[in-house]
Amino acid sequence: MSRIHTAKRSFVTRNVNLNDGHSLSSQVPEEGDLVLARVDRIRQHGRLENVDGRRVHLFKGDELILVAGNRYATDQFHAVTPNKLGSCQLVAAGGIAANVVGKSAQVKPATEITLLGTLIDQAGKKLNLKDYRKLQPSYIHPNTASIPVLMVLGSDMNSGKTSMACSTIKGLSCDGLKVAGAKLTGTGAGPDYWKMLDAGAFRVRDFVDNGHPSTVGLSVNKLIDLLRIIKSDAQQSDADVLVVEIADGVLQPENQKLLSDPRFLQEISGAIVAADSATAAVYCCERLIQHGIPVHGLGGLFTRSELSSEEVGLQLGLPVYRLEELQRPATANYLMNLVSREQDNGLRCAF
Amino acid sequence: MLPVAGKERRVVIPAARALPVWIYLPEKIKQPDRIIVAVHGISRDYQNHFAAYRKLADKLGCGLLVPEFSRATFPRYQQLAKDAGSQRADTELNTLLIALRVQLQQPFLKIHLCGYSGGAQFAHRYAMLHPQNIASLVLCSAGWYTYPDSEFEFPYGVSNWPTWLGKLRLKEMMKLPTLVMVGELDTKREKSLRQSKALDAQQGRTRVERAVNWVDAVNKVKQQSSDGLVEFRQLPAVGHDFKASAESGGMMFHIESFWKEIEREKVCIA
Repeated sequence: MSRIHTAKRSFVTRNVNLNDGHSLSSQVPEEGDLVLARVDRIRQHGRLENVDGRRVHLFKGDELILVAGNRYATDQFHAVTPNKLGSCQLVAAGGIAANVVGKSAQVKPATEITLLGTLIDQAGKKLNLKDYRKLQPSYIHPNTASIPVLMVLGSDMNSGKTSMACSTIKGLSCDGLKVAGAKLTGTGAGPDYWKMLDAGAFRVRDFVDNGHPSTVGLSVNKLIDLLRIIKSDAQQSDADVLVVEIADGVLQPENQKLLSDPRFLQEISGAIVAADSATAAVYCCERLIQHGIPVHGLGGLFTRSELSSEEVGLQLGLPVYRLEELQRPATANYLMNLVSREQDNGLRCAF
Repeated sequence: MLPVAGKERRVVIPAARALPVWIYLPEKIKQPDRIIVAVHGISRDYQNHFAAYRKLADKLGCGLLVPEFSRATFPRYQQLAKDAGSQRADTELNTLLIALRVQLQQPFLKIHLCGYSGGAQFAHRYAMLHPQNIASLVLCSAGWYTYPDSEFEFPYGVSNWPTWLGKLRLKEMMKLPTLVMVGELDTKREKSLRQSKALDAQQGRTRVERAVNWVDAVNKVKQQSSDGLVEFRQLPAVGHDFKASAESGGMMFHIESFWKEIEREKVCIA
C-alpha cells in the first residue's frame, strides 16, 4: 500500500476519492489542495478527526492527509495557506495545514508538521476539494425562496451557537419536521457536523461539500451562492426547514459583509442569537435587528447565569431560551411558525 | 426610515415586518427619551388614534407610535398572542423598540403606553411582562382585565401564568403611574364584550363596573407598598366610542394632565 493510503486521513478530505491520489508532487499547495504531512512536534492538537468522526491520536513521525487552507478562529489560530512545502502547522483538528500568523493566548502553539508533498492524480493534476463537491452550483433550485431558513449566529467563537442550533434541530425534529442542518461558514470540522446529525437533522451540509476547507476570505458573492446551493439541496430533499449556523461572531469580517448584504437578508427567515455574556447578547441582537433580521430568541453561554438571563430579558424583552427549552416541540413549533410566516412575507432590507 | 420632524410616516421595520407602525416626531422634541405608544381596539381604528394623539405628542414634545395589529397576524393581540405557537404582539413591539432606541440614539427610551378597549387589554398585560419599557400606563374602556390576583387563573388572574409568555413582573408593574378611564355610558353588553357568569361575578357586568373593580383590586395591592394609586376618571356622556371619548369626553385632557403631573414629579425628584 502506498503512503497515501496508510497515512492518517483527516475529516475535511471526506468527500475525496483517495484512489485518485497517484503520487506526490513538489508543486506549491494552494487552498483546497490535499497534502501529505509528517508530524514533527505535538503541541495544541494531539488528535486528528478522521473521516468517520473518530479523533485519532497523533504520534511524532505519523503521516497525515490534510488540506491546505486558511483559518480564522479567535479562540485558537489565525493562519494562512502555506506558500511552499516544508514546515508549517496543523491549525485545526479537522485537518487544515497552514502557517500560523497569530494565536490566542489561551491555546498552546500549533502542532508542528512538515508538508512532504502535494497529492496528484495519474495525469499530474493536484487533488483539490473543489473537484469533489457534493454540492454543485448547477443544483440551484428555481424556488429556493420557499424553504424557511433559521439562522443561528453568535457573539463570538464558543458562545454556544452549535449547542443552540442542535437543540433547535432536536426540537423541530421532535415536532415531526424534516430538518436539514448546515454550517455556512467556518473551518472544516467534524464535531458540529456530527452533532447536527445526532440531534435529528436528516441531512447536514457545509462549505466543505462545496469544495472549501474553510470560508476565510471568501467573497460575499460566493457565500451567498453557497447558501442558495445549500437551500436548494435542502429543498430538493424535501426538508421542511433549514437550520444554518454561521461560525464566529457578528464582528468577523465575512459575517459583517454578509449581514450588510440585502441579498443575504433575502435568504434568511429569522435568527436566534447565541452569546457568551449578557452584554454581547444585547449587542448582537441590536446589530441583527438594525440589519433587518428578526430575532426570535436568544441563548448561549450567558444562560448559565440566571442573573445574566434576567439582564437580557429585561433589556430586550425577547425570549431567552435555555437548551432544554429549545428542545421542546412547543418552542420548535413557535419558531417554525415565525420563520414560515416570515418566508411568506417576501422582501426585506435593512432598517 | 423614520419620518422627518413634523411629519408622520407609516414605517415597516424589516426585522418586525408583521407590525407596521405610524410614527410621528414633533418639530420640538422636549422629551427625547419618551415616546407615546397608542394601541387601537379590535376595530383596528389606528387612524383615529393617530389623529388624537398627534396633538398630544406636539404639546408634550415627544414622539408618537401607533401600531397596526392586523387581524390576520395578531388575531388576539389583546392577550399578547393567540396561543403558545402564534406570533406575539408584545415581542414584535419590543423588536420595534430595540430598533428605535438605536435609530433615535436613545438607549433609555421608555414608552407612555396607552390603549383603548382591546388596546387597553393589550397595554395592561404588556405592562405585566415588560414594565421596564414603560414610563406610564393609560387604559381606557377595556372590556375585561387580568387581575393581579393569584386566586384567578390566567387570563382572568395570574394563577397558572403561561411560562411561554415569560416572567410575570407584577411588583414592577405596580410601580407604574397608571390612569384608568371609561365612558360613563359604556354600560351596554354588546356582542364584542366578553361575557360569562364567572367573568361577570369576578369583574362586573359592564365596562364601567369592570374598570372600577379592577382599579380597586390593583389599588388594594398598591396600598401594601408605597406605590402611588391608580387614577380613575369617568368620561361624561360618552359610551364605547374612541372618537367621542377623545373629542368630547375629555379623555385627551385627562391624559395630558396625567403626563404633566408625572413630568412635574420627575422634575421635583431630580
